[in-house]
Amino acid sequence: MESTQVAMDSLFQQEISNLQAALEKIIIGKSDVIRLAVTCLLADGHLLLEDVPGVGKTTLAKALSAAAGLDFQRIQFTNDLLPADVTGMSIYSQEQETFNFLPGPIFAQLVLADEINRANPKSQSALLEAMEEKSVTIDGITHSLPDPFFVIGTQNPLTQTGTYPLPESQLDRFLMRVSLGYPDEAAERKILAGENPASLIKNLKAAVSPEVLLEIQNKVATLHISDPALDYLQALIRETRESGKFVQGLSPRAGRALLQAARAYAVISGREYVLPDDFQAVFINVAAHRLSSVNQDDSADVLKELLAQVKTP
Amino acid sequence: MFKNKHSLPESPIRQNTLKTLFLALLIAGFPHFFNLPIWVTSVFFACILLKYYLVSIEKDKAAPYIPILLAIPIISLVYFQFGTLLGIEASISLLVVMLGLKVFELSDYRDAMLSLFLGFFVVVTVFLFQQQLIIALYLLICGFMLTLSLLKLNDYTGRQPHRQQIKTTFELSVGSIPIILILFFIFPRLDSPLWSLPGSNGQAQTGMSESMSPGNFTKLVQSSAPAFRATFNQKAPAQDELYWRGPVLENFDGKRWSRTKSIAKISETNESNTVENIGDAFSYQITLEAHQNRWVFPLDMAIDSGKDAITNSLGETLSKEVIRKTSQFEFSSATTFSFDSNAHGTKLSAALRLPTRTAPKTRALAEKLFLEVNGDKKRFVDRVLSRFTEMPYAYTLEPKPMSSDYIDSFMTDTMEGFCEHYSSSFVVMMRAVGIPARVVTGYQGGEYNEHGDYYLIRQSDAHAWTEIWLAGEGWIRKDPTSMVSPERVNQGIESAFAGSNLLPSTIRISFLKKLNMRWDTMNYYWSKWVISYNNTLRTDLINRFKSLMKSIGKQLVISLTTLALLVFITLILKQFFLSSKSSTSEEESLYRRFIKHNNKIYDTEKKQSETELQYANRLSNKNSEHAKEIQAITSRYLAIRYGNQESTSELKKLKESISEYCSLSLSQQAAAS
Repeated sequence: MESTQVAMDSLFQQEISNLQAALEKIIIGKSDVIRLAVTCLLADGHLLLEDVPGVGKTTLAKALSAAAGLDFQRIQFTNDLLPADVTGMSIYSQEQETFNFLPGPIFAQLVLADEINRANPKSQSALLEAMEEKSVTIDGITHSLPDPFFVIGTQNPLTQTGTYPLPESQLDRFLMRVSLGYPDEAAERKILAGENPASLIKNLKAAVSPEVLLEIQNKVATLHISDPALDYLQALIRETRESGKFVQGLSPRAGRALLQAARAYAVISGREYVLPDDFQAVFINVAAHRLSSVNQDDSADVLKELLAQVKTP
Repeated sequence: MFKNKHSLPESPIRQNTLKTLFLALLIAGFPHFFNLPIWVTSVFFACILLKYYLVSIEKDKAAPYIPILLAIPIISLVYFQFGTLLGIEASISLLVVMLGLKVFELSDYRDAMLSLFLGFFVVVTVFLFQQQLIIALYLLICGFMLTLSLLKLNDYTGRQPHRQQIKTTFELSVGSIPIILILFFIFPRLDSPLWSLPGSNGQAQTGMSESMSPGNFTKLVQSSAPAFRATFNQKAPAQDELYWRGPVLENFDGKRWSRTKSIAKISETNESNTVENIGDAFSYQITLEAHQNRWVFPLDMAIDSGKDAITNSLGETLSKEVIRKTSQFEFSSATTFSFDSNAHGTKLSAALRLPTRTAPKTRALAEKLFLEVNGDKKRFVDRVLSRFTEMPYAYTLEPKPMSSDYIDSFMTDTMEGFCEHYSSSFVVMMRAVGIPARVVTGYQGGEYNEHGDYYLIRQSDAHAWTEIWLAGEGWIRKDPTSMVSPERVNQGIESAFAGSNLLPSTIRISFLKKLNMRWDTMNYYWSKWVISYNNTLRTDLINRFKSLMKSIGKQLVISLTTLALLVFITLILKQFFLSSKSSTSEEESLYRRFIKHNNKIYDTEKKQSETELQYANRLSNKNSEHAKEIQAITSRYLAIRYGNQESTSELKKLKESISEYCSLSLSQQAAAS
């Protein structure tokens, strides 16, 4: 038993389960979504929440920042938002006679980019570039973003007028796309009867520190992956390219994203190695927003079928 | 530096690789101890052992000029030994000695590879001297060791486990079997070997000779080497009818019996012999061991000698060619016949001649007995034969010393002798009263091998008997030895000499006899199918295949062949491109066993797209009493298969837990039903 204890410690099991437990207290009845969100955080990727308003997207983002001890910024995307409103700008200081850089809201460890599809493409790009590069370059000077850096973007799939939907190639910057969905009866009852989530978040104590989070992210990035597991990953990718059900298959970057997400999921499950199950658990959330189905079907459904066809190693 | 340029992709030579190589070479060279001059193999062994020692104390920086300096005297030594450098023995000696020196100066990869390939050559050269099954098996081991060294030598990483290499070598060896078989059966071969095999140039070989003098047979009888094997197509004659006829000896000079050379010459020009009134015919094959002569020993008397042998007017059978390797003959013989009943004059005169001063006492005895029966030839023959039983004659391999006229000495004095004494004395007695008589040599008896359904005739079954000619009846076989020792003819040489330690030990110990018979059966098939396989048999085989093709229909054969080829090519391609995937690891095969078992007992198969964990959950639901074991096996398996530590102990645990699980659920299943 001692050896398993050591293994658990080296995988930060205690911290991770505390983190999940704290979130579950606030977001009730959505433990699988929470698990995916934490996976995304540990994989050092960004999360895209796609859902109708009012199901708790903002609450999830705030709760995550509180539980993970990350400082939080929110950017409300509108169609008149300028890139500088995201990244910040240089302002001339008359006393010092120099330009001083004024950091934008993106300089936070957790950024909630609300209704990202309502901004104009230029501002969207500013955000996405910052997400990819983890730095912002203004007037030729590169400013690094904080570490850990985690962006939660939200999208409302129903409001189509006056939006600039992001193409698949840009959605690629998000590691996962997750929908919260309505809570079930029991959970809804609990929500209605329970405390206001805002005050709950206020009282929430951080389950992990940013330093520990970085360590866990490091651990995830170097987790052992075996040949048969890689075989399975390749088989999945190959199937999206060769099945003819998608306009384009998954890119190598998407493959890396899948691997990263699966590693994080393995760590959350307390394993030192990746199983095909880990790929299956994250596959749809990682792949669906990067693919568009040939028949305009929901790509998540097509991917579900695909999972049932690909042979496990 | 120059040297390094020439070595192939530098693979560091490790100590244990070299040791394996040296061991392989030592094993390969060992059989030559019996074939080559002792100093040759000694030099070879000394060089390798010395190098082995130097390598193991890591001081193998021997001066390269030593072997070069040694090479010249050694080449001259080989030359002086054989007088040439070209003959088989000389060139093989040279190969072996030079290989020893090469190993001694071995310093890099290239040298090691060269020595190794020469090692394969040495293995092949052993076959030029010996072709027995046991040698073939031994040389297989040599080949295995050399291949293993080859693998080790080319293992650049040096991290391949020893067991893996042995496994690979084994796979390579097994994989080469079809190629060996195809090459062996299909590849055209020369009817006569390119080289003359050693042994033909004067090496003494045990076997029947064309003359007989006292002591000849005693030597022959002490050899348990097989002479030939005979397989009867239907029934076999009785044991006491098994006279395998060899050279017929008519000339006698008082000491030595020999063939009439002139007759040999005439008879070989395909003169038909005159066997008449033939009784039941027996057809059979003889697989004759090489004996560097042309004699074949069919059953007395051959009536059909097949296409490879001729039977002459004396009833001797000769192969058309010298028997340099194990060969097969087809015969048909009759045991009742009349032979040469119309012979007269000159044809019989050789069978009447006696040297004038030989055996006066025996002659006198013959004349006396002839008078007693009033000149009746038939009664005389019976009288002489019965005299052997009436008087205290003894059949022994160690007769008392005799005087120079051994016939007289044997007949009247010592009365102890072997078949050669009995047959020659009998012939002298017959000739003394004018009955044509001659000595026939060959083999008598043979041991029946029930595993292979054949008779094994050893050199120790060598025998000499006689033939007398009576008007109207022709040549009649008379075996005076059978009068003295009926067991010799009825039960074979073993029972005649039970307890004598002159006989080879192999046939004396009955405990080992059965084992011996089985081993001989294997040797028989080895000789029959491998050693004696020649161009004729090859053509036969191909023709048979062709006719088979005709009978089945070309289309079918072509499509089948194409199919087989396609399958073969796919397999090879698969091996090439998917080598990492096609090999199943041990844990995988264990897990498959687990699945197979569940499939059988619980009818729960693992779906293709199902992960191991999902399968385990489904199975646990179905088989809840073993849920714990199932989960334990699954997680253990996953840790080995997907985890990053390889551990044999974990594998062992997995194996144990799966076996336990299988037996547990099996027994419960049995109890439930």
